[in-house]
Amino acid sequence: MEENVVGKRVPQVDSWLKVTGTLRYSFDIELPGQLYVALVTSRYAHARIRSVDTSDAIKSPGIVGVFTGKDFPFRIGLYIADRDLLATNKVRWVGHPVAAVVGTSMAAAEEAAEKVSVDYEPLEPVLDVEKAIEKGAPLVHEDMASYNYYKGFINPVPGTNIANDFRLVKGDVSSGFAESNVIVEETFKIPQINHAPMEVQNVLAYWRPDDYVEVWTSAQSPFATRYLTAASLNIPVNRLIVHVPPAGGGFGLKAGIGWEPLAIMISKSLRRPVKLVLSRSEQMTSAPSRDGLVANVKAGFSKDGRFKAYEATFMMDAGAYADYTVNVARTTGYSADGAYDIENISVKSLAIYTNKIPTTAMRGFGHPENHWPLEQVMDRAADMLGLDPVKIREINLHVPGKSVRGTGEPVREYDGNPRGVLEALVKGIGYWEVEKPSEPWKVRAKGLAMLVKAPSQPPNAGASAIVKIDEDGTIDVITGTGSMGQGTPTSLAIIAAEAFGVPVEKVKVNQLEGVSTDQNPYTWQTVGSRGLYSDGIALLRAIEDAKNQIREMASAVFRVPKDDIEIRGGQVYPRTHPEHRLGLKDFAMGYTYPNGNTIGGPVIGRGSYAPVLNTFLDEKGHGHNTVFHTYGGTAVEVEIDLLTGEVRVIKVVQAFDVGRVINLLTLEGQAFGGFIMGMGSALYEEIKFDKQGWVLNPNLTHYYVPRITDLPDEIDAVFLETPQMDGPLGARGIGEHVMIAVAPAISNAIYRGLKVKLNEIPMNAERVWKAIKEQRPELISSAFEQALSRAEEIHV
Amino acid sequence: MSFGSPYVTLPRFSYLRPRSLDEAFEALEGGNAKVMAGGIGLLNFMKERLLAPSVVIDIKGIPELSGIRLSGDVRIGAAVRLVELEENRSLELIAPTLYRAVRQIADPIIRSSATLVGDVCEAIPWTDGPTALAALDASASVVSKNGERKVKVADLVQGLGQLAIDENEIVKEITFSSGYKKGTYVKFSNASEYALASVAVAYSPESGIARVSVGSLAEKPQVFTLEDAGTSPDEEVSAMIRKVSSYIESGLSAVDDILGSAEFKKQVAKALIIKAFKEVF
Ligand SMILES: Cc1cc2nc3c(=O)[nH]c(=O)nc-3n(C[C@H](O)[C@H](O)[C@H](O)COP(=O)(O)OP(=O)(O)OC[C@H]3O[C@@H](n4cnc5c(N)ncnc54)[C@H](O)[C@@H]3O)c2cc1C
Repeated sequence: MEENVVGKRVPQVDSWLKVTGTLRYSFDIELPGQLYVALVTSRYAHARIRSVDTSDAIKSPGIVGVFTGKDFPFRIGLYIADRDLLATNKVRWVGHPVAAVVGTSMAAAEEAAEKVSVDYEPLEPVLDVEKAIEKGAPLVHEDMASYNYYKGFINPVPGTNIANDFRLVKGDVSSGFAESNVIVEETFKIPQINHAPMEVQNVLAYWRPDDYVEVWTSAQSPFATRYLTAASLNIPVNRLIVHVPPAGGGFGLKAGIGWEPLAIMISKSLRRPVKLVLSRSEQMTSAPSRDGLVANVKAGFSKDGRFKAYEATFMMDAGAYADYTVNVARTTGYSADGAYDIENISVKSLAIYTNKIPTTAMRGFGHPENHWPLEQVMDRAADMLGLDPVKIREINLHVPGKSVRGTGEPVREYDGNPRGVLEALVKGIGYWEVEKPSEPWKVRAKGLAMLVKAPSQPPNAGASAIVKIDEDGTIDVITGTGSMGQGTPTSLAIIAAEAFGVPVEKVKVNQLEGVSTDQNPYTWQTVGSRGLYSDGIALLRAIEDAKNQIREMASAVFRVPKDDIEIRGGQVYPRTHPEHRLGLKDFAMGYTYPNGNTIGGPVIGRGSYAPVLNTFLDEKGHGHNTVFHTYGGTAVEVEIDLLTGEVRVIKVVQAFDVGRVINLLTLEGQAFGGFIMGMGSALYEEIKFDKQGWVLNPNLTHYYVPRITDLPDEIDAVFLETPQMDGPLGARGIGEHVMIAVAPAISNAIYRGLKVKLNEIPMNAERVWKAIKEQRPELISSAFEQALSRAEEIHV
Repeated sequence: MSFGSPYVTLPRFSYLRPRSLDEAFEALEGGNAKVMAGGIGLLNFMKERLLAPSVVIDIKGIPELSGIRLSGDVRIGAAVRLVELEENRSLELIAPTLYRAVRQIADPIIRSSATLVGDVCEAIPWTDGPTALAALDASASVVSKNGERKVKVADLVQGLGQLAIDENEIVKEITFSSGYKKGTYVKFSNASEYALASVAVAYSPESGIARVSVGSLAEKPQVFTLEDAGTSPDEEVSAMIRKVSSYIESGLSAVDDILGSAEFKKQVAKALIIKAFKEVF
């Protein structure tokens, strides 16, 4: 019997079902008599809807209903209720759903959808964040003043396109700049990108005859989906049952509130189950993507390399709806100082409405955005100061126990070891060694970037867990976290196995069957790298509760004080007399004496968790709003083709202070997968819009996510273990951190190798080639000559 | 190929699988019909409603359209899947230009059902088949109930989705001389499935003819000989590359599209020339 599984490589508990194609996703669930929805979407980025003619569509064979915005005259949202279910009065982006055509088959619905005709009065669109905040810019939301929002958390500015205006102030930047010897001033950009999960969003909703509502949905956060949907639709929370089967990827897209309200309202109207499945192109145009960014930053350093002042304006392109991006902008702002001690900070972070695809959370949540400028500023400043990129980081990295974050939160002794992460990166990538390129017209270069991130969540983001012991001593763990490949269920199983001293196979985590809001205990959301930490703490408390129930009974059975009862190796025994032993199973349903008398009862442990001493942030961005911070970083070795601008990542080292390794296999999976995802956005991914706001690449052919052939030759992961004082077994979260530093690490490598600046992603071949051509044209011509002379050599 | 589609279903159509060319001709007579080989391109186009034929004619059951012949002129039937070419090692010796191109098309899953002729007939500016075949000076046999005619592959593809054949015609096979024993195909793709630029070189050491075809720059492959570029295989390879590079710069057209700007595509084509010429000459 293997008892100590913590830190070993344990395959994910649902691996077998996945590789055999047996796992049931929400898409696989069907109800008799279910109806299908086809969406009619906007062809304009911004237009008033004069009328929608549905008369032909409704007569089409197999059609049972056609809905428009008029049918659902209300707004929904998470932090700001700015969304309509179907466009009301006007359309706000190309892809905005205008009508929903419902039929007895998907084919019938799609055929009828073509017959809906919409009369538009085009309005001037605003497609650029900088233009959107100019005076007199067209307004995307004229009625913002009437929207409900989370007061105390975000700050919308009605009469403008600003959905949230967040400020972070520390010290006084002007005196900081006055004391600086070197100033870096740059504009950095990030385009909107898509989450591109394998499983597109899909919902099956049924408004039952008893006025209970059941929903099966590909979502991340069953309880947030339930609460927000219920609140939006005026359904008592306990009458809405949200089933969330394992999802085929989420990456933030499926957090918050999605397509559930639309499917529910259609079902309410038609009293039949309704299935809504997006096509890939709808997923890429009608559903949300990640915010774009224009960041103007100014950074001042003293000649000994101290980071004196940082001033940044983040203009986040929230697209047409910002119900989640308002918090992304807030997060980008309050964590803009990254892993560094900066004496003076002034940050303005705006979520800005435009007539583009709405945006939402995505893995990293504001941190890929704010680390893209910050981590490049470090390398540029180092260069100007005659320092190296490692040295300047050593000078400015947080010192646990001493430093204070921009928000005023202290960097605690147990927050991790940023310096150790940096050392691991430098050593792992061989930062000081120069590698030979594969061809003379190519250049090898190495670069690195650091990161820190905490979950971005409200101060009351709680979690709970239940543990039950079964008749045979096997263990059921029930929590509310969704399962989308991230591995949390497996890690929770390991924690429970360790606590009871049973093999991990004896623990079942019921997320595998999907989470149901009427069966699973509450957890706020499956986001922010918080799952293992929050649910893990709740689980340990539930385990303690269950153990106490067993100790209670065992104390009577063994006639020893309760505190002397040990529960280990799946056995229960008096600490002082271990030869007297019983199994877990002997207490599972209460203990039964030989004469039939029974004490106790079925063991069911419960545990709850809520963040400790968290607060909102005040108008200066100050407060205590985090539960843990994970430090990490990425180092890369790249090869740049000077003739084509193509950048290939050759080798990668990912390093994180995870507190405690729970499952090495899934941890590595995160580190590798997250790198690849980060590399996709660094090198390839970009939603392309034309001047009218049309999406030019709403497909996975021209919106390119990395393929197996794009992968680096080598990816290594290093994990440091500075225990998180309150973390489960000392662990802290990691799910998002793995992609945050990737883009700046690659850009820093290019800068180090070529002294060519790349301030915008994706760093695709053309962009890199153009940057070289503008900044170092001589590199290209000499590479061409190199290539030719080499050609000659081969010829001879 | 995908332009993105809100649809998840195919439009309504009927499906025919004729056993002979004559049966296929008859089916084509009915109008609004489309020939299907592997279906990889066709079904995507239909899903996107770019095409909505009422009849789909699957030609894979027609015996005359199968088979590869390597003796004499090379002949590749319209029903030959890319995987069959890839698995034919003799093709690598006889026509390395095509063999290497085939191995770079899409991925093994697609190559197991897609055909070479379908890759050509799909008429997408960035595909590899037409570029390689144009370098080989290949011809297509186009058949209909009125008989058979030959068209150069380079003339067959006219632009995006445009093919120089009539609605009632079928491409039966592709043929080309087996003399181009030397050659290669190099492709550059970045942030896309498709080639942003590609270069096919076909060289017949016996005749001394060397043909170069550059794909993806414009709507269709652009072909020239070394002679056109003012050079020959007898020159130093670096001199050849210089001349061909300047020929690409001044003699070829290029357009901006979703894969890249005209300027950049030409730059990449020149870089590919270096690689290709190093390999062949
Ligand atoms: C994901 C993906 C990646 C791809 N990557 C590449 C790539 O890297 N390089 C590349 O070159 N291509 C690529 N393609 C294109 C692919 O190779 C073609 O779609 C495929 O080869 C078409 O062949 P098929 O046999 O499936 O043709 P079909 O889909 O059956 O037909 C395609 C078109 O040709 C017509 N047609 C077919 N056969 C005949 C005939 N004998 N006579 C007249 N008309 C005919 C059909 O009517 C239809 O219009 C890719 C496609 C996809 C989906």
